[in-house]
Amino acid sequence: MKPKLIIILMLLVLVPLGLITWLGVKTARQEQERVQQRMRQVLIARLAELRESVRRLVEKEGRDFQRLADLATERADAEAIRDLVRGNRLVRQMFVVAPDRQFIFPPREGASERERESLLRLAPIWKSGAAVHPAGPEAGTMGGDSGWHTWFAEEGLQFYFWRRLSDGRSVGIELESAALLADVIALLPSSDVPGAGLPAGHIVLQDARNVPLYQWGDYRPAAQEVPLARLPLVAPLNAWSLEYFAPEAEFGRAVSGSARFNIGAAVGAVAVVLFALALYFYRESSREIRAAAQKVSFVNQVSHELKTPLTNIRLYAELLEDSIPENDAKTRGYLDIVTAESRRLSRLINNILTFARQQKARPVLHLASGLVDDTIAATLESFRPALEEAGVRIVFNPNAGRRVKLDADAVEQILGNLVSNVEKYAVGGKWLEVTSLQEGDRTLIRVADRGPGIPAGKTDDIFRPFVRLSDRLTEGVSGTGLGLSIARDLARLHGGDVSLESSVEGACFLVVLQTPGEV
Amino acid sequence: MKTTMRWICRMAVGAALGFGLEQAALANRVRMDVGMASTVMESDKKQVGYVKVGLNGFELALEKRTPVNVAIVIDRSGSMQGEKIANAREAAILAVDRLNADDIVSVVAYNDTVSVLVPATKVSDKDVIRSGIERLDAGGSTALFAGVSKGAEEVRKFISRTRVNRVILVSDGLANVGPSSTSALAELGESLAKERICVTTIGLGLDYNEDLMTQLARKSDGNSGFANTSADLGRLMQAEFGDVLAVVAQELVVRIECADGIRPIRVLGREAEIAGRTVRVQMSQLNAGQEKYVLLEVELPATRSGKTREVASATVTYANMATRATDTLAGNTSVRFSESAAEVAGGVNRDVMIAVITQTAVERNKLAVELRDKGRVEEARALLTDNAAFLKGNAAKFESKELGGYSVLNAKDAGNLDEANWNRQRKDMRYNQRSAEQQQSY
Repeated sequence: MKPKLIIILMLLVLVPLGLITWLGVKTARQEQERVQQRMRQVLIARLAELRESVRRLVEKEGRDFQRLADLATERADAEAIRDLVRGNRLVRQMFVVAPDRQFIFPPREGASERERESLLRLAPIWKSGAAVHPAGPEAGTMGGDSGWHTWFAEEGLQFYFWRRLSDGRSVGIELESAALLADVIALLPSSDVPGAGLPAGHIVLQDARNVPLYQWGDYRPAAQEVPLARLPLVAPLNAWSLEYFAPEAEFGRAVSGSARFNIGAAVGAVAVVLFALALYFYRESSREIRAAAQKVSFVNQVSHELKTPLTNIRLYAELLEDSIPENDAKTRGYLDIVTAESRRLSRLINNILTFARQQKARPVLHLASGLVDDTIAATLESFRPALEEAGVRIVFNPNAGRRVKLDADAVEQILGNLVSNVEKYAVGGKWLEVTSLQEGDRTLIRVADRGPGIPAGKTDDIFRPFVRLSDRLTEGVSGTGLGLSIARDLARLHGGDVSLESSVEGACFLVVLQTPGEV
Repeated sequence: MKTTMRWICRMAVGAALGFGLEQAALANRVRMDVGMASTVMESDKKQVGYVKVGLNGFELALEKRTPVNVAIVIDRSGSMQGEKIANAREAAILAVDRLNADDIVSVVAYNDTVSVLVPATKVSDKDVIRSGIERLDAGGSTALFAGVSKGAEEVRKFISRTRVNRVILVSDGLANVGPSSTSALAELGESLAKERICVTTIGLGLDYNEDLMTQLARKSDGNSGFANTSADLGRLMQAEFGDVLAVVAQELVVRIECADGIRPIRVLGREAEIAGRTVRVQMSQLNAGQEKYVLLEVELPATRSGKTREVASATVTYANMATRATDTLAGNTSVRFSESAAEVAGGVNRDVMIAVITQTAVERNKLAVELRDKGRVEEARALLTDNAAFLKGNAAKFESKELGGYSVLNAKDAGNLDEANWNRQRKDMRYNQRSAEQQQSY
């Protein structure tokens, strides 16, 4: 009983608690995801701002290069173009190409070593023709007549700007990639600049091979940390990207902390209430059980003590009955009452002892050959004086005269309990009808009275131990509340059952017993 | 030699004071000397000759010195922890103390990331600058490229032709965040030179990449220094600031036009552009009393005896810091050909010869480093020993203390090629090479 109760109570507590916790965690997670989503958007927006400022820088530089290209074609002499190269930190070399793809600058004669080197260095570009006579995706990235061409060299991303003039000449500018990077770095914030309302983060500008070119921010990401946001720069720097690292967990906690706390508090409160309730029920029920057990144990002990003197009383009362004269009706009448009452007391004690035994171990039947009707008759006989005294008419319809195997003591106890209930509660009906019947291996005994009957809602309760019906019924009547319970248990032990049959008036109990015939 | 030059300049200043304003104006000009290693050369023989264009900075009264715009860029990576960073702080504070309210200074520190500790500001409130420098602590990696980029950006904010615009980089480690190759930093130096920003690199300790640091300085025509111990750093910073404060001319562009039949081969020790017969060399700055020179190797055609041939004409334009004007100087040099060996020997120009010998020795010293890098220790040692002897012989011949001193250095180099000393020695050699090539003031 106890472990089962504990398990049920635990289930009652844990299932709803688990459910609430699960829902709470789910809500918290959703909340956190929402917050992180929002944070990602903020971070992306920040990166987009940076990308925009880099784009503007490169756009401005592109316009400068357009002007530079125009200047280079206006003054066609080599020294003037060299001065343009010397004067611009972003320009590594310039090229002026004639429509027939011959180089106007660097000049065929008198090119410096640097210039000759640059022609060799950019050989793949001249070969592809992409940068001189542009076609393909790079065409016109700065408007129809100029654009960027980028490629990878050992030192990283290299840049080439081209501009084609209406007369068919084109100008190429090889950029000093280190200088362009230095410009971008100069534009981007340094670590001492706090990131406008954003959490402590770390932003990395990295190249196509994910090698950091520049980084800033107070936060130090772990070696394999995944960035919260990533945004590639725009052409011609589209091989470079910006990555935003931030302590995600900390940020999520900071923002959804209140939500988390609320959910946690709710779950906690529900848990406390549920546990308190469970504890209350557990204590209540175990107190009841303890009380009942104490009651049984006490009655059991007392009953044992009572059994011996009662046996002696019955023995001597019977001896006395034999020794008194036949005509002394008055004495004999008194003696009958003594005998009947002592029998009743002994049934009561038997009930208690049976119940107590049941609590400890399953009782065993002692089957023996006998007649069911005989047992019924004997039982009724023992009740007759008391019942008739109360004006109850006893009707017995014996139809179970076949010799079968049965435990007469058990049958007598079952029947005794039923009849005893009639004596206790239904004497007002002045009627007791017992009918026996045999169907194959089964014996049916119907015990009906015309008393107040059993209320509809209680038909199951009455078979549970220590259950007694309403105060009105039990008023002034003593009882242990064990009778029906024991009767049903014994009947079930006997392969049958005791059940309440529906009846017009009073109560009608049907006893079914498994009584195999003799072979 | 340097002291001699200073003395001459002082004489010139003295003379200017004595002979009136016109003379004074002349005294406030850079002096250019164009000369050949030998004024008489062997006839009827195709041969190599050397043209030296020497530039001498005039003296400038200290109170009239050129205002400066410097960014001090300090490596604060993990390796700088402890004494090094403390010394760097102290050196930076001492350096700033030498500046006055007309000057502009900024302090940038870098490890994985870059922090602008003191944004470019006038040195009127030294306490603010000092407290910025005192925030300097160390830990992390080395984003050298980004550090220099940000330093240059600080200089750019107040960049002016009337100021000395310079980035001073102090690093003790290998760049490992962002572009970290010698070529990438050289490119950066080159592009900064175009903006008239030069980068001085001071290597600290024994773990930095001396090639990267000297290339960065070389391409931007800045100085380079090697502080073996962090205590040396203070001395080097003082020398560097002395150099910065003594600038009298900037944006010096030397153009040498070789005469017909003369072919320019190369310029020794400096970055130069040679296109056709035109040679162009740019120098960032020239200090008071300092001599810087361009040494051009040319090929002369076989010429008959008795003929005088013009070899080259040189012009230099520069921004004069005393007069705030752009000056142009011109000069030329010619050589006479003779079949008499005695005449040829007598025509030797001592001053140019010393420059030629020095630069030749520097080239051989560089070659020795290459050999040593390839593990050819004995060859390197032989070369250096030979170099020392060559210098010693010429020191005696030309009675040059300078060559004598360089001979001693080469002999010392030869003795320190073993594994235990090599790392330190290599840095020393790179520093000395760079210093000699560029006629660095320290």
